[in-house]
Amino acid sequence: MWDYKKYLQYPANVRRKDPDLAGLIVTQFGGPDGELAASLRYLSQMYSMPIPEARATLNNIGTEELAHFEMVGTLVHKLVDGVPADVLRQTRFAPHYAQWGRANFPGDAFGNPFTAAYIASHEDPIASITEDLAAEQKARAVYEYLLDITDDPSIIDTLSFLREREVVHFQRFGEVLDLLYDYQDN
Amino acid sequence: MDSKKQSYPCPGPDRMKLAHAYIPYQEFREAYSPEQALRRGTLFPELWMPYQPGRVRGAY
Amino acid sequence: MATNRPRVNTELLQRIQQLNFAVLETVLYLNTHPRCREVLRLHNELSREYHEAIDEYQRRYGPLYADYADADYPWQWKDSPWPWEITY
Repeated sequence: MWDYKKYLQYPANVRRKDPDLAGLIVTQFGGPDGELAASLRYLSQMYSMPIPEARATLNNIGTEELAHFEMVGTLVHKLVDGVPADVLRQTRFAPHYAQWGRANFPGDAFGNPFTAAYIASHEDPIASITEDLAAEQKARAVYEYLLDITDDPSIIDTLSFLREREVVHFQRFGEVLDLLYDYQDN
Repeated sequence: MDSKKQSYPCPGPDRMKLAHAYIPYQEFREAYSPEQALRRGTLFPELWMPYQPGRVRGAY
Repeated sequence: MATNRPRVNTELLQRIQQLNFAVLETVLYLNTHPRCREVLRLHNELSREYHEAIDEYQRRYGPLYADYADADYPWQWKDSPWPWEITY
């Protein structure tokens, strides 16, 4: 089961308000390669994994992704919090504001709502772990796209941290894959 | 170092099969301080692979 | 009554973040390297430090876990700052 610690895993600060950027960073909140997708993907796959190393890895990484979901949510929130409506009206955040106000909503950068169609979960553990390896690469790539389009040093700091986590997760899933091969051969 | 290596699955060319993906197994060498680890996003120096915008896409 | 004490200590929170993160990294490593004694030792050391830091923080600034056993009157868990309100 899950518990909550009342601190972010890593700081998520912004130097200045930027509703345009909020509407882009939101892709890692509720988009196809974002943290919510990652969390649900891993926390769905863990049940039918045949080896304990796989279950534990999926459980712990899936849990960590929820902390990242919170961090990205914090960035989006801070970027628009307190920005007057007439200013928001002039940004690409305007449709979001019209539908949801300044509240966070899990969706992608185009406004598409989150869907579990973003994830796969298979009884075949090789299929699932390969999906996870791909997911970590895509998330890393998206963080790089986002790093390309902001010069806010605080946001760059947070995005760089999240990007590095994807690299580490990829390594762990790679190790699980190898352990699965061993399990299959014996 | 060698005895550690033996206790981990370590894909050598003789062990690899076609149509199978392999990622090298990490072998622990040293850890950053917690302060440095958090700043870099990993406890392990050999896993620190920061974004280098000058390189071709996907290189890390 | 604990309502007049400072609600946050960002420096100690940062230390807690550092320790929690280091522990997590050892957990992920040990999940695929269960027989690495060195990292196991590191895990336990870091976890001990982490829990000490948590204890100190909760005692001085308020709960970080909802089930904190020495909760003061009136109930503080619900109060700010929540993590997204803090500038770390």
